[in-house]
Amino acid sequence: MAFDTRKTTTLLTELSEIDAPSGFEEPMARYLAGKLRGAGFAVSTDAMGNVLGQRISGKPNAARLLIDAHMDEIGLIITGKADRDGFLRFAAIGSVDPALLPGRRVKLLTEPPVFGVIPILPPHVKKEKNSVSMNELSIDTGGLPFSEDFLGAPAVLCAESGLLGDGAFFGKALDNRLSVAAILTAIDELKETLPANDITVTFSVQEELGLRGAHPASTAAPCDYAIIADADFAEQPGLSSDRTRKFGGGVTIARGPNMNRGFTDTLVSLADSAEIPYQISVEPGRSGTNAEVLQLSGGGVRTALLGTAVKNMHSPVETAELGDALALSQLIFAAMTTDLEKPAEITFGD
Amino acid sequence: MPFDFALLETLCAVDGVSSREDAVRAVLAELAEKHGLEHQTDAIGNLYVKKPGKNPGTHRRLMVCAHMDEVGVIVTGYERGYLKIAPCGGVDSAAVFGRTLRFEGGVTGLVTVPPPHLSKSDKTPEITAMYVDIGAEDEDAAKARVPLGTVGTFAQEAFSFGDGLYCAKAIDDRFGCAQIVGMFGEEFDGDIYFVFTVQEELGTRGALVAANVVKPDAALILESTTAVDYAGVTDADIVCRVGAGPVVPFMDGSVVPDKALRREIYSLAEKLGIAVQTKEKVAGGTDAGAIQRSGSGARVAVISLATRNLHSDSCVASKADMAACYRLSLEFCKSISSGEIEI
Repeated sequence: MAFDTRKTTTLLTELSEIDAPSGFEEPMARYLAGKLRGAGFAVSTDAMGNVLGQRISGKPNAARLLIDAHMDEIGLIITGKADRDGFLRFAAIGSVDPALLPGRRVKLLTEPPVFGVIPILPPHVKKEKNSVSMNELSIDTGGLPFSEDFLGAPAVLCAESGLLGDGAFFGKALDNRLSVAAILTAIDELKETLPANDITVTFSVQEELGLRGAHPASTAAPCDYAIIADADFAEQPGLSSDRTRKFGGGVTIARGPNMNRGFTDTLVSLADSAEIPYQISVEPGRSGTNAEVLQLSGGGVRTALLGTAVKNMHSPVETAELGDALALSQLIFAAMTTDLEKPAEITFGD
Repeated sequence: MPFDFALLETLCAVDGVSSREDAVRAVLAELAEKHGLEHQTDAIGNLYVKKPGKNPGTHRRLMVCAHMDEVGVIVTGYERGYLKIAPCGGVDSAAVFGRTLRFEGGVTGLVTVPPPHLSKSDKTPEITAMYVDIGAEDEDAAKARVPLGTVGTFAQEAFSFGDGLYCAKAIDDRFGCAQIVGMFGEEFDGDIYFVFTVQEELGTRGALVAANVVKPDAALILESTTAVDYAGVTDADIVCRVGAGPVVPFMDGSVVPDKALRREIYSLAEKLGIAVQTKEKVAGGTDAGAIQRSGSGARVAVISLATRNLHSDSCVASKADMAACYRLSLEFCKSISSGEIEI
């Protein structure tokens, strides 16, 4: 499968720079609907904002394979006027480390967008060293008068993106835009041929708020197999190695109670035969991903969890290896083009 | 000529972490040459530009200075392919955590962040406990790209926002430098000794040498100072306010500026219709302390720009304050130079 570093970098830059905090994914939904249509998928959007794309194999009784990546990102939301003119109060959308916020520029996703800065308290005012609490922070709008338009406006941290070293890419929201990029690359490759299974791609909303979008998405598109693509934790200094994966170690294939063993075995053997670099990641309990929802949807779904190792997760400098993205893309492509056995329906003869 | 904001933008974008001010100095030296002024650099790196007066003679010596350096980090070691760093100047750990840095030679580095899902502590780590990822495979690769002792600064781009505010790294003290460059093109009666100092952020080191070289009778220090006029901060903790005009301090952690000169600045501001403020908290320090105690002593005055988020990649200051600071500083220098204000 052809993989062009420049093309991938451009795609990742576009994806990283589209702002789509949980609950406010519309710009990303529009972008991805266009990409799906361009790859020959029939596209629909549900009431919650999930984007669903379908491409059928044309074969009778084909297995149904769902491939999901969440398209939302963490962010902030304006909750009101602060106790000083020109400043706004805010809360987090999803899991945001308060220590990352002081001194950051933020983009309020109003129409047009408004830029601001979260003040950083100098040491002589700070009560406790190396400690930041979310409720003492505010957004400096540079003296703009408070307007009702600010209330409930989402915001993201401003972040730059680009290449790091030889083969890594950094930017915001690589959790989970890297998986989105891998899926887009795979379905683009599929344009030239027919899939072996009936494929549904779901780009789901509000994962960062507790796997919310996956519920209606999995109901709208019943399936036999599901692949969830999501960011995994990369090795980095200070983190225990049993919860982290090798950076540049290939696509992560998760094993554990949240994943179907047989389908995971199939993906491992596909990776072996296509010489796709992979590593096994163990998820001992709930994976914290949409795989939790898919596994239990309908009458139960044979679910697998794939991913890539991402450093600095939930920060504006998330970093991932381009080679890992390629491996993820290749394995998704292999799954789409391999005949999966149609499981027998459970019937009670009545 | 009014204050040249575009010049400030240019100067903020140049990197000059304390002790490695070379790139800033090169830009300033070139600007001096453009104005037909001679420049000299001393052993520690201070840049001197003497502006000859129209009526040279018996004038007493006025030195006007701003520091070229900015805070940053310095590479102290490696762990696997990651850089270990220490602060260079006063940098809060939260200002470095998860930031994009630029090291000498142009290498980009990311300060790593443990994901909140796996983090056991809600404290920001000390800077010396942080790791910088430059995408190097191992220690040898990292060393080759970023040798020990390399300094780094914030890589964020500057931008204007809100109601006339500007956000950039190193406004402290490229704003002072930009004002002096503005004065290159002005006319003064007496000679003025402009000095761009080094290593202010490491304890006003360059200024000590500069004062010994120039031996001024009086000095005006052009600075940027901490505004803490944020939401969430009690009035008692506010040092000064952005948008409330030039800051003329009566005392900070390093100096009690000359009282008579401070009164002269206040009355000059009143004459010019410029609102001024003072520092309402004894905090921070400037080159003024070192210069006041040099030789047999010098009279010092300070005019500062109120700046939020000082020592971070997002210093914030008001363009209106900048224009007012420059006008006040320029008229103060002219009044001293003409003998209207005695030193």
